[in-house]
Amino acid sequence: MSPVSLTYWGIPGYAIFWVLSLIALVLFLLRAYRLWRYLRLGSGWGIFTSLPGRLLTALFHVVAQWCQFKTLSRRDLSGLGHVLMAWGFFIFAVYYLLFIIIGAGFGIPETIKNNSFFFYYSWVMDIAAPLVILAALWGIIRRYIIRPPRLRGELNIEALVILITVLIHPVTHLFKEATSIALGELPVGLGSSLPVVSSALSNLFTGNTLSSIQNAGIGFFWAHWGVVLFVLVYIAYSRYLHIVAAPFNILLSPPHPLGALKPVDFEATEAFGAGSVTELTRKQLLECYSCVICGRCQDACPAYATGKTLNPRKVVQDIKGHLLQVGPGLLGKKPGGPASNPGTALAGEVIANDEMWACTTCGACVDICPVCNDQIGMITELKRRLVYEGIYDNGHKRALQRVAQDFNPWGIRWNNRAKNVGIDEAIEGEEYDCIYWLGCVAAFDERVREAAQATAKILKAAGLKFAMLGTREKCCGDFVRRLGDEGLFQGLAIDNIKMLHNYNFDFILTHCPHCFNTIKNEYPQFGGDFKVVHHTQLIIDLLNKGKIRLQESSQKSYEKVIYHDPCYLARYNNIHKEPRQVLGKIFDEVVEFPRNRNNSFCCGGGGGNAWKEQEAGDKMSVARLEEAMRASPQVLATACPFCFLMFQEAIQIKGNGDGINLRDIAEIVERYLY
Amino acid sequence: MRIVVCLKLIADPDIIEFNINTEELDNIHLVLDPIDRYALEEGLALREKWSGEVIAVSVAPGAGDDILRNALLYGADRAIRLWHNDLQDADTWLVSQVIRKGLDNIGFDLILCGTRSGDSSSGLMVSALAHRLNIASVTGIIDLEVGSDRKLIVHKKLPKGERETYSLELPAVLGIEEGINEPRYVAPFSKTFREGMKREVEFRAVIPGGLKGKQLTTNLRFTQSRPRVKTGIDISALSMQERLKMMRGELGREKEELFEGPPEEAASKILAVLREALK
Repeated sequence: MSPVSLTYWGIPGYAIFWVLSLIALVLFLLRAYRLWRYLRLGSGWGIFTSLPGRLLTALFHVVAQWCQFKTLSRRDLSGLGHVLMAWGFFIFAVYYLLFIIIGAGFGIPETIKNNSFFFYYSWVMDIAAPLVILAALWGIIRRYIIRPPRLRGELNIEALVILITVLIHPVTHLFKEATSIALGELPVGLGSSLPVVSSALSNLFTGNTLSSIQNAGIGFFWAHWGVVLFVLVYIAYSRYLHIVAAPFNILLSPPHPLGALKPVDFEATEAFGAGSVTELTRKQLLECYSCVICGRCQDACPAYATGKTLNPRKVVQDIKGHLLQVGPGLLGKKPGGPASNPGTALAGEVIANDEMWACTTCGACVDICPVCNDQIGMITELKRRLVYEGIYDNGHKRALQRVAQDFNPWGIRWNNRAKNVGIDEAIEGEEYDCIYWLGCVAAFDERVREAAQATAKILKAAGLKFAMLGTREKCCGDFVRRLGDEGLFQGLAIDNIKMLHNYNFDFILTHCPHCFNTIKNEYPQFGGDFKVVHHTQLIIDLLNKGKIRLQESSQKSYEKVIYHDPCYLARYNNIHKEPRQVLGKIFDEVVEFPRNRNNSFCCGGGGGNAWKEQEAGDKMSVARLEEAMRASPQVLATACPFCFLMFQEAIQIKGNGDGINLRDIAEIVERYLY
Repeated sequence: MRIVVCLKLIADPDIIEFNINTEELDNIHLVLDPIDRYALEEGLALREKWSGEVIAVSVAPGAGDDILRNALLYGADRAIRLWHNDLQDADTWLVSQVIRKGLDNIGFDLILCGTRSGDSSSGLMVSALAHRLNIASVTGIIDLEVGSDRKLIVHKKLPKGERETYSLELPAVLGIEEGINEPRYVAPFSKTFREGMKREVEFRAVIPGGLKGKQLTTNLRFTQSRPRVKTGIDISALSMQERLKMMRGELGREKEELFEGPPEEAASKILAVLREALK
């Protein structure tokens, strides 16, 4: 007997079931349609290629719950709870569709249930339900009693409502099943052993009258379905929305969001960057819908951790809030047209300048985001609009000015570039194995120059024919682009590519991970397809091939070394094995930061912030150095000149940093060269 | 208010090199005189206070269009290049006359120049223009306050860091000192830049033959600075005694010689030493 087939106060159960379901569906669809129209205010969907690959990625993230597993850490196991809930949700959704909507709703419960599939599915549900209950209880306890720092600032009622609905689903389901078993209804009789939990619960009803058990069953059914319908509506009005939005968001995400920024077409765009929600892409607006406010980005953000105003979670949520606020007004007018004035400026008012400028573009937020949001892409669009309007942080402005005039951020006249480095300059027409791209730090800083000279010695020892570019090399434009000055960046990129095409070489060796990333991942946008190698990659390659040899292994250094992963090497380009292999060959003990590899913590120098004016909060470099000091190493090794400079400063600030010796990997290798 | 900013096209003084073999200048990169960047910024900043227009003017051959175009991209309302081939070696006096002539039917309230140029460094242009136009002038301006009713208060930097403050009434011609402001940065394709892209550099031919002013000086040649013989002493190699001597100014000085005797005798001895030294 299905509760839907009964009559209540003279009204047929079917009418109640379908009317309630349709009301919920209409409420959901109305809101969904509204959100869809807001989404369409955005400008285009962005580049959309290689669908099969994306589809696989999306399925992997959603069905296999890679979204959670990829960020699961010993420190933070909450992703497991989500996995249980998500898988539970999939199992429950199938149950609702088959056995409630089709079975009960169309009055064919017996037909659809009287088979072994239902029997096995009852078992599956019986196992899933307690796990979901556990996950929901864990979620509530964690969120409202333990209160982990990652959730700081988001402990509102919405999450509690969601967790309670998640809890009610399986509870009411189990009781509903228990009453069925107590009444001897299906799945009783389908198989030898009944689902354990439901049948255990059915014992609670022994001794009760048949009708009271029936009434309880009816109550549990309607309570259960009521919660389901409430959730359907609530999906469209809360962060539950990620169930619908996130899979599409992941589908639309480029295979690896880090690396290259999207170029601006200055001929097609008058005002570059995003000054209103209509100038963000639809993909970016979808990112706002997909955000589930898990706080992982907030937890990973070095700017937030050191007390800056930036919080990537807040940026996404503020843009979403703004979209919902100005959406109705914008829809009233012609979308995208000049008449649609959103009132407040997105860059500068909705998101404050200081928030954008505090971003070192380290990529920790993008890397960790379970729904594949690209916060850096969003922040860059906003920064670009500030540049268009002529609004700068003073430190950033001066660095850009110097690059525009002298092609380096230090403001040293360009004719002094790479002076006294002592490497031969490339000659047109000659064949080279590699062009050694120094980058602005090695080309001008006395201390980092030593690391470049060490690299040159390694190249010589390996018998490679190499040369540098001297004054013909210009800033690669990495930080210029990341500060939003796309015009200056494109000028530099085009000049450098044109200049590089004058020489014959096999590959470009970069000293700096920032140059590496820009030349490798961004120059192809402007016709510069070069083979680019970072010096740590080359060194391990030369060692493995026996082109260079280290001193005998019995002379392994007994010093303890700690390796700091530069963001643009580890996170942006997945190069973290190579430096460790090199160090492992030299040092007895290679220790790790608590946050290492893809989880590395920025030194504070990225995205032009090495030149930023004094800002609020602590220095990231000092925070990172303190982290290193806890492991008490003798040597702090890095493979990035900016990390090097930032640590140099941090060591000065901390006294001598407990006697830590700061070294570039190239210097270490050169010292132990056979 | 109409503010005229005079811009000079020079060979980048940091980059230019004197070729010992050919006795010619190498590495000539024509750029806007660095000090003029401050004059332009001051003009643009004053326009924001007053509302009006900024006109960039340069007496330069075709290459000058680049710096004038840049001035437009940085926000100047108009840019005018004045030139005639006979002006190739013109001196300050003649150029000032060209500028006066060029401004004839434009009119101005204020002219801003760099106090002295990065190449010839005569520091005469402001005074020459003031004379030509018969208006007030101050050079070496390190600070500028806008007073009421066409009045300016200007702070002039003196050699040892002292300041003089003047009040003056427009029209005037002012020599701007480096460091008076922080020149703006205008990113390529930004709003200001795009507006500047829509404007063109105007050209006016000025025939020096028809001018009243004549060239007063003629530049004969350019010679490299004489190579300095290093006379410095390696301080780290000195003993503490020697360091003390050095601090008292006694080190490295030639031996002193005392000439004694009656005045006539002493004088002839000194004369003999001088004669010997001059041989």
